[in-house]
Amino acid sequence: MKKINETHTVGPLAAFFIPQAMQIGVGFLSFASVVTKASGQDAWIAVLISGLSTLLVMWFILRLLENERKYGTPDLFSVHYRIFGKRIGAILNFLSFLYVIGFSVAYLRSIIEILQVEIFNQLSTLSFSILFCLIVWYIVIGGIRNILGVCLLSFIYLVPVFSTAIFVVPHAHFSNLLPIFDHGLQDILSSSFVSTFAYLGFEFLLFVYPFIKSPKDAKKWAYFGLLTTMYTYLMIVLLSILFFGQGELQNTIWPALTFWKSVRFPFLEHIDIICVIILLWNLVPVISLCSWVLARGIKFTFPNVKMKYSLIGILILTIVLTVLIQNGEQVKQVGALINNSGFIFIYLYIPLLLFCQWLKKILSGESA
Amino acid sequence: MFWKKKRLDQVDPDTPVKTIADLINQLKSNPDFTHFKHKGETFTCWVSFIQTMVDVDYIHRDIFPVLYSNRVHNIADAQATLPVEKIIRTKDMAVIQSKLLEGFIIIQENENRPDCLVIPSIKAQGRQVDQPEIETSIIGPRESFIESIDANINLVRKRIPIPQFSVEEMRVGKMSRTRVCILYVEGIANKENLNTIKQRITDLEIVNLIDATNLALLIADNSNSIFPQFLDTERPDRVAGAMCEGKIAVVVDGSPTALILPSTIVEFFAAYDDYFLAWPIASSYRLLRLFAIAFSAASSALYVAVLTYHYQLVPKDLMGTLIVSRSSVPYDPIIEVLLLEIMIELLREAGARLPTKVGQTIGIVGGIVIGTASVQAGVTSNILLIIIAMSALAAFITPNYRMATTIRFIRFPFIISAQILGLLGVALCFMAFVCHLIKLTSLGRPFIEPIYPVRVTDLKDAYIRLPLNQQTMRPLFLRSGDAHRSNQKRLLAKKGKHSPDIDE
Repeated sequence: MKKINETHTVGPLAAFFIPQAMQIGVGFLSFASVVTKASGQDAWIAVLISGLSTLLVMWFILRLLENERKYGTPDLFSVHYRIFGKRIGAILNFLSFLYVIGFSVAYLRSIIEILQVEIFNQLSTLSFSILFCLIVWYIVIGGIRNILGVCLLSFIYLVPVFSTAIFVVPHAHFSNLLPIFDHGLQDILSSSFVSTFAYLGFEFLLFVYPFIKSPKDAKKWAYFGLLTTMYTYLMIVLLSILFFGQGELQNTIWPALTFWKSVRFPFLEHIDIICVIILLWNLVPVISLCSWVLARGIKFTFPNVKMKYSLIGILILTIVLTVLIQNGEQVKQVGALINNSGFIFIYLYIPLLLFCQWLKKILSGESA
Repeated sequence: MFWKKKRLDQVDPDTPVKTIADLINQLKSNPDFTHFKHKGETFTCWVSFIQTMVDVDYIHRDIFPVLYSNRVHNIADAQATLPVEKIIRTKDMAVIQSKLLEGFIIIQENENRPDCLVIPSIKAQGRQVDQPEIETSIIGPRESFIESIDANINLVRKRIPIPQFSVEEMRVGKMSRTRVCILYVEGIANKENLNTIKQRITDLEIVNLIDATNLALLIADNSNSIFPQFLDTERPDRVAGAMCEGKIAVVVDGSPTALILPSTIVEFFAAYDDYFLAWPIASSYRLLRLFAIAFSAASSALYVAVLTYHYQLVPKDLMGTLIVSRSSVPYDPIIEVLLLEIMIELLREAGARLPTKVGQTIGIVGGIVIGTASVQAGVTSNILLIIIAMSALAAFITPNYRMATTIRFIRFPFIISAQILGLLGVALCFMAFVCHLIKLTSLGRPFIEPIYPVRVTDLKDAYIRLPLNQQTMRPLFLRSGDAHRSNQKRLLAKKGKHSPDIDE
């Protein structure tokens, strides 16, 4: 692969905005009810644990990429090729493609599901995803800088959505938090496991990293981004526990939407539709970055295929896969699948990869 | 290919006629071309000029007396004695031809030989410097550019009287040969920007260039975009201010506007008055403008979306008012909105095209009569009438006319997408426009700069305007040669070290 031109790189702030935009998304609508299933009012501990564990994983990722820098482009594709050779590397790359496209399709389909439930019952999955993929295509042909721009804007647009949480305060019952530590470690850990889906997304730094200028500054931004996400989720869980009773919370599919239905303005009866629509903005960076990563991966594997042509194929594939998921039950299954594979990917595979890298270094007899 | 038929051989006005006799023959039939032989005692010569282009008084007063006097014996004498600066002696046919047609006098010793004197005597014609009519301001300077490029450069240069002020001239247009000047302050303006502009202007392949805004369209980064990428202004103070920031100005002969390049989107929403008011007031005006633009672009689309699909968003009391107002309207909100929008567009266009005196009357009569009558007739609801009128007003709060037309235009895609997909359509349309803006560049610099890429120092003069003495940096996106406007250290030193306590 050619060396990356400086005009196509992005500043160190990208390490903040890109993982942030990938992480926060449709997951947080159902987040509170999913997390509290096993651990009830102690769910915030579970969220804290998995949030802190993402910091550790980020350390692994940055370590892996920094070690790789002296051998060439520091991204996951070249790591695979270098450590496992061309054939196994290609298979692993293909598996990561599957993960990325799964991530993007699960995301797109679940937001369409919410739109179909909340706004238009008869919204056609096909036509919406085509319209949406047109916008994504327009972004991605502009390159990584445009994708970063959308990430940044989605962060800005989400600020008002999150600040609606202020309306919880008058209705908060602080006694809902008691008793603390009522649940066993197993309950809490199983809650942590299901909250992984909400935290997934920061591993995309594995693909974007070579495009970041001055990676030294980028590191602290990457950790800071994860902390912001953790703070956001912690707030959502805490406020949901304060706002809803336990039984009510676990029986609601999207607690955030239910909460938004109760917020009233003089000229607006409720704000759930508006918030869902603003949330759409979060979809743009996710799908764009996934498509960009796939197009780049295809170019890495087959250097003759231009990204602008493979991008069209990728978007068509995304649309087809999205249409194939037909109902809410399947959306849930796909979500669970991505959750499990993402869990394996970040908590098992990345440490393993770091270990393999170390092993390769030892075996090839380089001095440390 | 068969669909690309070969055009006839085009006449290229760039190629000069072969000899001077050809040129004179070609021009002879024109009644305003003067070509005669002067026979004096000591010196005989051929004089030719175009009467309508030269200042005849000046020739009679200052040039002929010298030429006819006995001191002149040959053409070199004439050059030495004529009290005119910048006389050219040349044999170059291209120079002779272009100068003759610009209003210079040609003096030859021999009618058929191209060796001649070219004497400038261009007639300056045009209106006086006047008050700005498009970018009016209540306080501040009241001068605006006019159609003469020299007067325009004078207006800018007198505001920046330093030797670093540079002017570069080029000619654009195969037939119009329009003078285009690039003004910049050397050492502050970015070299790369300057070269890009020069490159783009010299690469132009056009027949005639009429106006600066015309040039702006021709050299824009993305000529398909509905957003103007270069700021056009008729205020010399604004141009001078921008040049001190490190921007580059382009003036075109015959055009009362100057271009400022590169520009960002926030500049289109900043009036120059903002710099004459206290910063909290100026900032709140800017925020008001921002709100007005958002309102103007989205209000009628939101009306369509909410009334067609999302009436559950409307509170009960407001719903009652809406129902009463719409009860007599026999069709969907979209028809109602389009009807009124097009009506307002008609009024605007008629107001712009009609002669001033008639235009105002028609505007008032049209607005009031059509507005009230259409509500009374039950064709539209009066709430919508209020919304549409307000959004029309809000669109023209934009200080730049070209941007105002863009804002007026943008609402139609919004209305149509609101009809198709409700609020979802509005959101998708908004996304498409924002994505377009993220991609857009002005002279290769990002167009929505203080927002993306984020530049905190530039945000001080974007949506809000902080105090002028806090703005010590030139805009970062310009990559100006000298990033600092003022010396921070000296500024602090002047203030003194400590601030006094109460009653000290």
